[in-house]
Amino acid sequence: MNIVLETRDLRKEYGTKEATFTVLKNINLSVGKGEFLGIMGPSGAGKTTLLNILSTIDKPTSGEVYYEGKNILNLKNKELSLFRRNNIGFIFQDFNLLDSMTVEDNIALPLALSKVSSKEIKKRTLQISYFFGLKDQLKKYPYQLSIGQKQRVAVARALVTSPTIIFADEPTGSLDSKSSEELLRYLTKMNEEFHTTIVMVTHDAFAASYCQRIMFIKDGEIHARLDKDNSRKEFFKRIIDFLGSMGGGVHELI
Amino acid sequence: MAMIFSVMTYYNFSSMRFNQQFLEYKNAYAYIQSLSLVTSILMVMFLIFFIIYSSNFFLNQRKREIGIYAFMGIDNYKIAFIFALEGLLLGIVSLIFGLIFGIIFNKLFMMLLAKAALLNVRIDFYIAKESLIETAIVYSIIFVITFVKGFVDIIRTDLIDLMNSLKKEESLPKVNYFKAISSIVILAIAYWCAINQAKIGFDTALLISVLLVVWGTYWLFGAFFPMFMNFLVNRKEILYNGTNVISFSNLFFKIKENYKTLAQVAILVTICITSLGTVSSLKYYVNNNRKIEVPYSISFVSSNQEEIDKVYELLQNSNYKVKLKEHAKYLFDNQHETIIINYSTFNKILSDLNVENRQKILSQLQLSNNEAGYVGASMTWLSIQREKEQITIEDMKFTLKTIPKVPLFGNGVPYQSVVINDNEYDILKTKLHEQQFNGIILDNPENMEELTYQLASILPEQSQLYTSYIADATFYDFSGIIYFLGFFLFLVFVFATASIIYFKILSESFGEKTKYEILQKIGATKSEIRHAISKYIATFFILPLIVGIVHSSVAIFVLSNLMNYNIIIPTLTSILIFIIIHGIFYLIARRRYIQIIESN
Repeated sequence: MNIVLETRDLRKEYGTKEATFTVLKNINLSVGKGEFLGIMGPSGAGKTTLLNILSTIDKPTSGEVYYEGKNILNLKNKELSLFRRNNIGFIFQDFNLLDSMTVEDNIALPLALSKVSSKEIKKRTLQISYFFGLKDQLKKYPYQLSIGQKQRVAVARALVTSPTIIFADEPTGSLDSKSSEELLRYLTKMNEEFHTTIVMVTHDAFAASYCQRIMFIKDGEIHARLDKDNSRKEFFKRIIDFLGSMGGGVHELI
Repeated sequence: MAMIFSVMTYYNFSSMRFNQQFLEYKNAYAYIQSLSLVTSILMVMFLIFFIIYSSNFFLNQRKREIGIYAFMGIDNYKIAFIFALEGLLLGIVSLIFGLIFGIIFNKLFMMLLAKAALLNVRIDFYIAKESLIETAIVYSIIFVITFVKGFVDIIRTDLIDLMNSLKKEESLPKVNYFKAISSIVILAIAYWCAINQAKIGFDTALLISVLLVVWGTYWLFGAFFPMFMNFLVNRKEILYNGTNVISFSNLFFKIKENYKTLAQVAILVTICITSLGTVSSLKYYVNNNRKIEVPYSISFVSSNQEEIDKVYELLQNSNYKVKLKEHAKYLFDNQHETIIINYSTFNKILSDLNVENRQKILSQLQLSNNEAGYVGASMTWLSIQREKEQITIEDMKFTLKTIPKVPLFGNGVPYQSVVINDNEYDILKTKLHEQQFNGIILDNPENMEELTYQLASILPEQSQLYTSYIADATFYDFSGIIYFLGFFLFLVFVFATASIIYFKILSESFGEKTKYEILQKIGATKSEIRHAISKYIATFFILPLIVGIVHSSVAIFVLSNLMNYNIIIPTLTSILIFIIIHGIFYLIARRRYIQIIESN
């Protein structure tokens, strides 16, 4: 399996020389193409920081990040932005859709910025909207959609550029259980049909059970890994067991 | 800062009324007094509007802060009091500084005013106590009103509103096609009325066109421009082109949201440009014509050397320095009431008076026999086209070639003139009585009342004595004052107009921050974001600017028809000045907006 993303000895510190606070240390991980990886951990463990560094929004204090063998920390700001636009997709907890644009335009946004031809954009947008069941919502504005639909639009936007990898930060965090399940099924479908690589940060064991592999982060370090062997239900149970055995440090269960 | 400037200005305007030296100059006094009053009133009205507007803006900025205070348990009245007091203190400080600066600059202001009015008076430093008091009173009232209003506003807001004020939900703007099309129609009707004001009567036309323009502008921004943006947004070929996807969709929403402000600004722009254009046109016209009507400080007709010497003797014994002495021989044809001069004289006068374009005029004036150049009388505002007409003087036929209006003898000898070549002049000389015109330009032609009387006493009545004093200087001074005041007011209005847009745009920048953060995460580069912002803000400045320019152009066009004079130059200058100032504000606003968006 190809390695899409790899880190070496990642370390992130905040603060001044006198009072440093180490958020991440010794992070060595690799993500294969087509993987659906989950990152779990208690709040304050550094999950979001790790995600920000992996997705190039933030820079580590030391260590390296490689995308398909290329060290992306050497890229300058502008190149980094473009790299991000073309290779990385984002899904945020609060969707972050632009209220002043239609669903169609929201999805098309990254392509429009790259100045892809409008014909091509329209085609791809339509295709993706079929996939996510959003065809009838294209001309509407975000405020007219349900919460589940909004998140699907956000996923569609992330997918439209056919990125190498998609990062999701607590994508089910704002959703009710029904929309949550729906979204996770879409993510799985995406991963299976398009072989999209997905890295999802979550504290929700139910969401994590949809992944193929999970990494646990505690106090800034990779604490453990769990692989899905059989069914999702079985995986879910193992996750819960593991969280339970990790002791009082974990509070967020379903 | 704006407050300080406005206090300064107000003080200066009102001080005009009380300045002792102006009081002495009785001729100008009446005009100055009424003008000062009018401008003071205009300023007050406008300033109230402006101060309320800007204090609202600042209040909105602090809403979250207020919310936090309220949240912590400080009761509403105390909060309101604190903020209102702060506003009041700010007001008092700016009042004091404004007055101080106003006093300091007063001398400069007065000097400029006098110069503009062509009153050559020496201005002393003077502190007008009455103005100080008046300014202080007016502004105190304004501040108290603002204080009270702010107080009341804060008390009335709910806590939740304050906390959520930055997270407003935007609703979809509807496009009203009827209003959009109607706005164009309404404006077209308004323009037609204005241009054809002669047919409907000036007053009616004025009223109708002003009302229609205001109405049309509101609908223009409320419906037409949103419709246009909507159209653009639906054309994906345009929308999906780089940063357009961000700026255009934003514009569509924001224009509908802010259409009232935009319309008001457009109307203000129109007022600014039209008023400046009008006063500069007046000045332009007056300036250009004065040289033709009064080219000499003193002019009289006399061939009597004794008389002429007496005049020079008088001048030598006075404080006046003679800058130019002109003696021109001419013939006068009683039948046509025409002055006849020869080419050499014409040449000499033009060069002595340093007339612009004289090389061009002279070179184009090739006078063969039976040809004569024609110059209209100085007093007429229009030169009737008399090209190729034929006149006969003492059995000699001449075909006329029109010469552009140039100064010759001025209003002292107010007849039309023809120029013929020297040979033919010599022939006519034998048939008509030759007279001598004498013109004197003084270096310091001020206060010539006494001199004029003295000259009148030594010259016979037929000498057609004419001096600057007689030339009704008051009229020209008047226009100078108007121009100066108009220009000053213009500046004030322009600043206020541009800052309204500035405030409006900046107040929404805080709410837009998250939007641009999202964009950055999705991969928009910094420069793309800046580009989108620039386009967006530029549109906000440009739309009312263009609308305003179009409105004013029509208005000034009507004016030029009334004046029957080409006022393109002063009009373009006014527009240019406005654009420059407007552009500066755009740059400042853009910079600040980007700063806010990019701040962490």
